[in-house]
Amino acid sequence: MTIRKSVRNLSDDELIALRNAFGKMMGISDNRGYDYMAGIHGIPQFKCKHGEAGSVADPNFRLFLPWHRAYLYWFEKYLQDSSGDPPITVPWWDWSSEQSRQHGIPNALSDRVVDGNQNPLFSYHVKLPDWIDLSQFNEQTGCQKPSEYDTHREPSNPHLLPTKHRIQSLLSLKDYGDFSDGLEDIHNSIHGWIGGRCGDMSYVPFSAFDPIFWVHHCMIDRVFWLWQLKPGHNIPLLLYDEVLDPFNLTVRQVINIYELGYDYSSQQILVNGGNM
Amino acid sequence: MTTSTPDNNRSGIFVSEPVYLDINKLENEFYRADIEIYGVDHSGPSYEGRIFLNNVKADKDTELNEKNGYVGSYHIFGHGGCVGNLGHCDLIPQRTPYDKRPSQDLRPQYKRITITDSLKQMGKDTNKFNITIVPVLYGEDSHLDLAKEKEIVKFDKIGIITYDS
Repeated sequence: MTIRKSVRNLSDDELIALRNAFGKMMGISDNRGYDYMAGIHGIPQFKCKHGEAGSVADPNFRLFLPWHRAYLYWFEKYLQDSSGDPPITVPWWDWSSEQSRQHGIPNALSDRVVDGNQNPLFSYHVKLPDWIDLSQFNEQTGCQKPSEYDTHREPSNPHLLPTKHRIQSLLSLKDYGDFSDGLEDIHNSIHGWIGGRCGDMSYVPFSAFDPIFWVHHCMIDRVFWLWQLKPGHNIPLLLYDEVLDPFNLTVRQVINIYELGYDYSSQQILVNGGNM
Repeated sequence: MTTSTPDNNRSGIFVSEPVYLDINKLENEFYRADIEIYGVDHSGPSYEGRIFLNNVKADKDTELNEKNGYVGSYHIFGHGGCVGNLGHCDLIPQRTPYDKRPSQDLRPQYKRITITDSLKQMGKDTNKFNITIVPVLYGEDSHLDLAKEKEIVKFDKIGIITYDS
């Protein structure tokens, strides 16, 4: 079992290991690498699931949460492979904490340079495929995105981030559809809060290239799990056999995070036992 | 349910036709009321849609409080336009039951905003509701000219639904 922690609670060694893992994964250009994994969400594969409500007759047909759970799990596995350090996990950024609402994005993610090197949690160098035509994007958004660039953010005022109270209200919703819609709406607002006018996080095709995407989605998955832990809170059976493309997993297989081998904890300190 | 038309006098802001609902004539008291928006387009920029009841003059500078008729927001995580080849983002209106490919990621969305308390309060005095949607783009200042901004909020239908027990 691996433990996902808050990015603000990582030790110095844990943060170094995380940065090293991201850096190594970003250096792999085949289908185990960062570019490939980020490209599942938007450009070039466009597999992500958002706003399912209303597209299918049943109002509870929403794959946003299970699909992104599978995606994060998949990403984390390749992150562990590339780091050669299995205990590496993706941390969460609690954008509803008092610290976040005062100071915004944590330094672990916002420092451009660490020890003289570019921080792999701050930005990623994107080279878009040749067939991508950015003319309509640039016209519609008023941005000037080239086909090769470093991801960037344009965060808004920290006090606009959602409050703890809002998350607690969300967790009290019993209906899966209400909860999923509410959490997805907050998720959307955080994307916009981080990306602002032209930042990658504001747009579906580019958002997963920004390293903060994974930390943001870890928080989404954590809130999803906190909701699942409450009595009487269940995912509708009609979703169970839905395939989460392209992860070779069904919704049923990602319902219980213990079966995926991870848990959420504010802190875990282990010391050697007598047999070591 | 009613269809919605843009307020052509103020680019980007939608004001619905009146929705007539007399809550005092409902057989049972409702325990929940939502504003429903069907067929919401998300192919353009990301934005916050601020929703006001019976405040047709609301704009992006209007304070978000009950007095001004603010009842909530929805947030669109947009695509920012099409980045593929010709036809990449065209929606296929109706697939056959034998087409097992995953659904298209640009198909329009459904949004709902719960307005139970606001409707109970406002419904004491009126049975006529105008729904205003004010789009607010992310970032310090709006970077789109009004003509482009006008195209942001697009949907098929908007209305109010109540539930009783």
